[in-house]
Amino acid sequence: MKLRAVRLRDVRRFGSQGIAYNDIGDGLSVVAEPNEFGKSTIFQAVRTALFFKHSSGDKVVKTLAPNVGGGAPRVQLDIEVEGKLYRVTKQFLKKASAEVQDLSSLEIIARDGDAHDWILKSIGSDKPGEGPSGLLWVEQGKSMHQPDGGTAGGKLLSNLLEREVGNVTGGERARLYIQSARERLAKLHTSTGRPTGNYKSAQQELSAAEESVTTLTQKMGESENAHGELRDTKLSLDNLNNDEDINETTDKIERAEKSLEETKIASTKLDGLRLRVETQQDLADTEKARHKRLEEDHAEGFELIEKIDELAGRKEAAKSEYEDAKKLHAPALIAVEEARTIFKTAQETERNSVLAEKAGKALDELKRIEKSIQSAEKASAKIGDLSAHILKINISRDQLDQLENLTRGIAVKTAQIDASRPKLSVDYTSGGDRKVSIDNIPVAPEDEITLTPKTDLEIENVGIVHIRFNENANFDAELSEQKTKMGNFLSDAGALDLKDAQSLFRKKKGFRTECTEQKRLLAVAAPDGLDVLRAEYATLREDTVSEVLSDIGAEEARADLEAARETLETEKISVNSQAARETKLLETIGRIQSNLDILTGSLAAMVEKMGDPATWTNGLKTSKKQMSDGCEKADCLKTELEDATENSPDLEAAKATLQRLRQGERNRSVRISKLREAMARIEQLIKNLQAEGIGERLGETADQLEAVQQKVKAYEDDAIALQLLIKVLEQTQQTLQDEFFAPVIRELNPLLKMVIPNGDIRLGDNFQPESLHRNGLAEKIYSLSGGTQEQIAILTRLAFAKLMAKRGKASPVILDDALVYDDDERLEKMFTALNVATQDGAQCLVLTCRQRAFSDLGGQTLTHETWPE
Amino acid sequence: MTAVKFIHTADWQLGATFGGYDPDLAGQLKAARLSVIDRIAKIAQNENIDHVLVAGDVWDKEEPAPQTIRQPLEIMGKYPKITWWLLPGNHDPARADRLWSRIVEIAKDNIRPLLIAELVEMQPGAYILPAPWNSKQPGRDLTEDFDQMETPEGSIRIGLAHGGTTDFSGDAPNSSVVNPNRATLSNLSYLALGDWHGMKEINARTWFSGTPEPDRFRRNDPGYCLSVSIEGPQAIPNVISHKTALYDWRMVSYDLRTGFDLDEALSSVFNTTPAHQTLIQMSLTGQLNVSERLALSQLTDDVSERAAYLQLRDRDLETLISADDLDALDLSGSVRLAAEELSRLKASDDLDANGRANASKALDLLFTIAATHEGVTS
Repeated sequence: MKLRAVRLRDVRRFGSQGIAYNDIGDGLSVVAEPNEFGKSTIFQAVRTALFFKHSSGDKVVKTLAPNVGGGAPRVQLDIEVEGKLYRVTKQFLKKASAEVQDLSSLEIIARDGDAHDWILKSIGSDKPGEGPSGLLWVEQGKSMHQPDGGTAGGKLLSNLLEREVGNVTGGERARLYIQSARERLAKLHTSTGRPTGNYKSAQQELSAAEESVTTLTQKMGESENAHGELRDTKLSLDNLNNDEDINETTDKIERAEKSLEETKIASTKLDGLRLRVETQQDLADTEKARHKRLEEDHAEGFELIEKIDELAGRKEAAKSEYEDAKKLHAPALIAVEEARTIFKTAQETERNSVLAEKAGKALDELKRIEKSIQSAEKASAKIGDLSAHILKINISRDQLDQLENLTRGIAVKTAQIDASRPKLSVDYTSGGDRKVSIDNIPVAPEDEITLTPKTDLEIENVGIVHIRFNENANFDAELSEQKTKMGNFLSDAGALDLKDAQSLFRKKKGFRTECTEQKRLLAVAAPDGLDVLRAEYATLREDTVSEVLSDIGAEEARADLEAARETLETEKISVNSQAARETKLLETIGRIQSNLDILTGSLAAMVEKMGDPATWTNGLKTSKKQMSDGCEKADCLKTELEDATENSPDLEAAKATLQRLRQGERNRSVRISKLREAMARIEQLIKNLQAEGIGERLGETADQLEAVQQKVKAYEDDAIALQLLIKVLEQTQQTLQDEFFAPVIRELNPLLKMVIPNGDIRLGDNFQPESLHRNGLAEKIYSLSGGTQEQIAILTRLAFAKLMAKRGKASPVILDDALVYDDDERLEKMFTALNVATQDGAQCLVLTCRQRAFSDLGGQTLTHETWPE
Repeated sequence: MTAVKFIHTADWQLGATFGGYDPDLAGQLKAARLSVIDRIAKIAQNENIDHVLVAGDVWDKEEPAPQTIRQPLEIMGKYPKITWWLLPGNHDPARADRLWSRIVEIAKDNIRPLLIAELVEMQPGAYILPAPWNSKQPGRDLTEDFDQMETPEGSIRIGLAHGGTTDFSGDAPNSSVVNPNRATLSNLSYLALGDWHGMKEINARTWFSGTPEPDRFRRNDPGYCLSVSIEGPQAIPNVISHKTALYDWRMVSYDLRTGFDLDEALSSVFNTTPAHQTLIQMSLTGQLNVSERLALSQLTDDVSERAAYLQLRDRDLETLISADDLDALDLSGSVRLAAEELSRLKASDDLDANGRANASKALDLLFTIAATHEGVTS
C-alpha cells in the first residue's frame, strides 16, 4: 500500500476548512510545519481512519473531535493498492460512515463495515491495538522510547526487529499465544516435564485406584478360592459321612473280626498237629541215633578183639629180645673199670708236670719285683728329704710380691721426704770445722743433711738453732709404718732383706721341681704303691719255696690224659647203651601189657552191655527195623501237617485285615475332624471377606479407576495438544523470522554504514543482533547513545520498508517528529540514508517542525491545502 | 374363580456403584436405588397388592457391602403385608455359602428368596414357577424346568425368570436366553422376566419390567414397575406400568451442521424430571465452524451447570476451519501459519488417528486462546 493523499476536516484543530496533502509521491515526502500545526493530529487521523471502525466509540476516536464547532471528524485517504487508486473516507462520532471508492471507476466498492474490512485486508493489517503491518510508524518520541524500552543488551534491536517483523508476521501475537499456551501447560507440567496441579492429583488418584483395584481383585480371588475350598471341603466331608460307605466299612470290620476268630481256632488245631509231628520226629530221630550207636558199638567190639590178639603176640616177642640183651651186660662192666684205672694214672702225671712249669716262671718275676722295690724305696727317701726342705722355707709367691711392693713404697716415700725437706750443708771456715752439730753429731763439710720438721742445730759456741717447719703429709709416720710392715714380712719369711727373700724363694722352687721328679720315678717302680709291691713279692716268694719234680713234660702228660679219658668214655657209653636197651625192652613189655589190660577191660564191658559177641549181628538187624518204622510214621504225620497248613486260613492276614479296617475307620474320624476344622476356618475367612463387601467395593473402585483414567487421559491429551501447539507456533515463528530477519539485516547494514561509517550490525545465534561493530570495536547495542539507538530504529524501519517494496508490498514509513536527538552531521547522514532507502521504492513520509534543519532532507516537500466541505 | 394381583419388577441391582461420578452424585444415585423399594411398596399399597415379584438381579454383586444386604431387607421388612419374592439372577446367582445364604439367615418371613427351581404357592390357586440362577453361566434356558412343574387343575401359573429372550439381539447371553414362547409352552398365565433394564412387552403374557431406577444411559424405557392382574388361568393379564425412577438418564444426540439451531435443540434437553435429577449423555456429531463451536461450548456449559451430570461425546464433532476462520485468526504471520500447519496435520494421512486428534485439539486450543485474548483486548 502507498499513501497518495491525506485529507482531514473537523479533526481537532482542523475545523471546517480542513487540511489536505495531495499528490504524495513514491519516495520521500516531507511535511515541514511549525509546532502546534497539528502534525501529530494528521498522524493520528491517518491511523484512526485505517484501523478503527467508523462506528467505534473508542477514546482514540473521540480524541479526533474538533476543537471548535460540532462537526463530525472526517478523514479521507487516497491509497494505492496493487497499482490501483482507492479513496477511503470515514466519518466518526456523528453520522458515522465509511466508504471505499475505486478512483478509476469512481464506483463505491464498499461501505461502512465492509469498507473497514476492505481496508484491513488491503493494507495487510489485522488488529489496531497491535499496530499496522502495512505501515511502519515512528511516532513522535516513540522512536527513542522503543529502543529504550527493551530489556537488555542485544535484545534492544532484536525487539525492534522482531516487533517490525512481528507486525507483519504476527510474531507479537504468537509470543502472546505461546505464553498463554505455556501458562496452560504449566498448570499440567512442571518445567522438568513432571505432572503438576490437577494432572498430578489425577495421576496420584490413578495410582491409588489401581492399587485399590489390585488389592480388591486379589481379595476377590481369595474369596473365590475360599468358596472353592469350602465347596471341596464340604464335598469331602459329605463323602466321608456317606452312610452307605460307613455301613459297608462296619460290615467289613465285623466280617474281619469273625474271620479272625475262625482263623484262630484253625490255628490252634494246626498247632496240635504240628506238636504231634515234632514228637514223632523226635522218636524217629532217637531210634536213628540208637541204631547208629549200635552199629558203632558192633564195629568197635570186633575191632577190640582183633587188637587184643595182636598185642599178645607183640608182648611175647619183646620178652624174648630182653633175655638176649641181659646176657651181654657183665663183660661190658669189667671193661669200664679197667679204663677208669688207666685214666686216674694219667691224671696224676699231668698235674705234676704243670706244677713244675709254673714254679720256674715265678722265680723270674720275683727278681724283677725285688729290683723295683729298691728303686721305689730310694725315690721315697728323696721325696721325704725334699719335702722337709720345702717346709723350712716359709715364703710364698704372694708374700714375695708384697715384699717387693713395700720395698718400692719405702723407696718412694723416702724420695718424697728427701725431695720435700730442706737440705743442710755447712761450709766451714777455717777454724770452724765441725763446730756445727745436729743431735750432737757434727756435720761434716761434705755432708748434705736433710732436715726434719723439728731439727735442733747446735753451733758450737754459738747456741742452738731450732729449725721448725710443717709438712702437709705425715711422711715420717707413713715411712715408719711401711718399714715396720717390711720388717714383719722379712721376719716371717726368715729373710734378711728383699734379696735374701728372693733367693730363698728360688731355692724352694728348685726343691719342688726335684720332688716332682722323684715322685714320677716312684710311680714307675711301684704304680700301686710300695706296700702292694712288697706284698706281691712276699706272695711270689712263697710260691717258689716248694720243689716240684716231673719225668715228662706237661704237654705230653696232657695228651696221655686225653687218650685215657676217651677210652673211659667209650667203655661207659657201651655199658650205658646195653642198660638202656634192656630198660627200653622192659618198658615195651609193660606198655603192651597195659594196653592189653585196657582192651581186655573194654571188651569185658562191651560183652557186659551187648552180651555175647555171637549175638551181636542179630541185635543190629532188629534195631534197624525199629528205626525204619519210626521214620515212616513221622513222614506220614508231616504230610498230614502240610495238607492241614495249606488248607488253613492265614491268621496274620486276618489280623492285618482287621487292623487295616479299624485304622481306616480311625483315619476317617481324624479326617472328618480336620475337615470340620478347615471348614470352620474357611467359613470365618469368607465371613470376614463378606463383611468387607469386596465385590461392591471393587465395582466402585473399578468405576473410579475408569473415570480417573479418562481424566488422566484428558490431561495427557491437553498436555500433548498444548505441547504441539507451542511447538508449531515456535516453528512457524522461527520460519518467518528466518525469512524476514536476514533480509532485513542485509537491507539495514548498507543504510547503517551511511550514518555510521564502518558500522556493521552483527547477529548472534538465531539472528539476534548482538553488537554494533565500527572501527574494529564491538559495542553492545544497549550501550549506544539514545540518538544512535533512535537512528538504528528508524533505519530498521526503512530497511524493512525497502525490503517490502522489493517484494511488491509497499509499506510506507511515517516519521512523526523523529530524529530530534541527532546532531547536524548525523542528521545529514540520516537524510542521505532516507533518500537512498526511498529511491529503491520505499515510501516515507516525514512530519517535522524543524523546517530549517530538514530543509536539506530532499524529497518532495508537501504543502497543505484546505479541504472545505 | 382364582384371581391374583402382584407387582412385577426386576434388576434392582442393589449396590451398583457409581465410582466414576462425583461422590455427592454417586451417593444420591445409590440412595435412589435403595429408596425405590419404598416407592414400589407404596404403589403396591395403593394398588392393594400383597406380592412383589423381583425377577432377578436384586443385588448387583455377589459380594456386596454388609449394609447393602441389610438395608434393603430392612426396608422390605417394614411392609409386613407385602410378600417379597426374590429371584437370583446372573448378577447375584444363588451359589452355596454366598450372598443368598446370608439373606436367608437374616431376612424376615415376608421376604421369600426363591433359590431352587421348585413350585411355590403364592396364594391359594396361584403358583410361582421360579427359574433361579445358581451360577454365572447356567448354559441353558432355565425356564425349561417349568414344564416339569405341575400345578392343580385351574391354577394360575406365574413364571419368574431372568434372562433375555431371543427377540433381543446382542443384549442377552445366548447360552441362557429365555424362549419367548415359554408362557405358551409351559402353560403360564404370565411370565415375569428380568435382565433387560427397559420395560418391554414380549407378548401378552410375557413382560420385562425393566429396572425401577436406572443406573446408566440406555436407549430403552427404564424406571418403571408393573402391576399385573390376572383374573384366571387363561385370562390375559392386565399389565399397568408405574413410574418409579427418581433420576432420568437421558440420552440425546444432535447432528450439528452450520445453521443448526442448537439453542432451540437444547431447550428440550430436559423434560418433566427436574434438571438436578437429570443425567444427560449428549452425543454430538457433524461439523461446526470456529465461532459456532465456541458458542456450543457456552451452551453446553449452561446445560452442565443445570443438570445433575452431563457427559459430552463430541469426538465426532468436527470443527471446520474455514478460510474466514483462518483470516479471522490472522491474515498472515506465524499464528496464521501455525493454524494452517495444524489444519494440515489434522487431515494428514501421515499421522495416525491419535496424531490427527492431537492436531485437531491443538488447533481448537489455538482458536480458544485467540478468542480469550480477543476478549481481553476488545
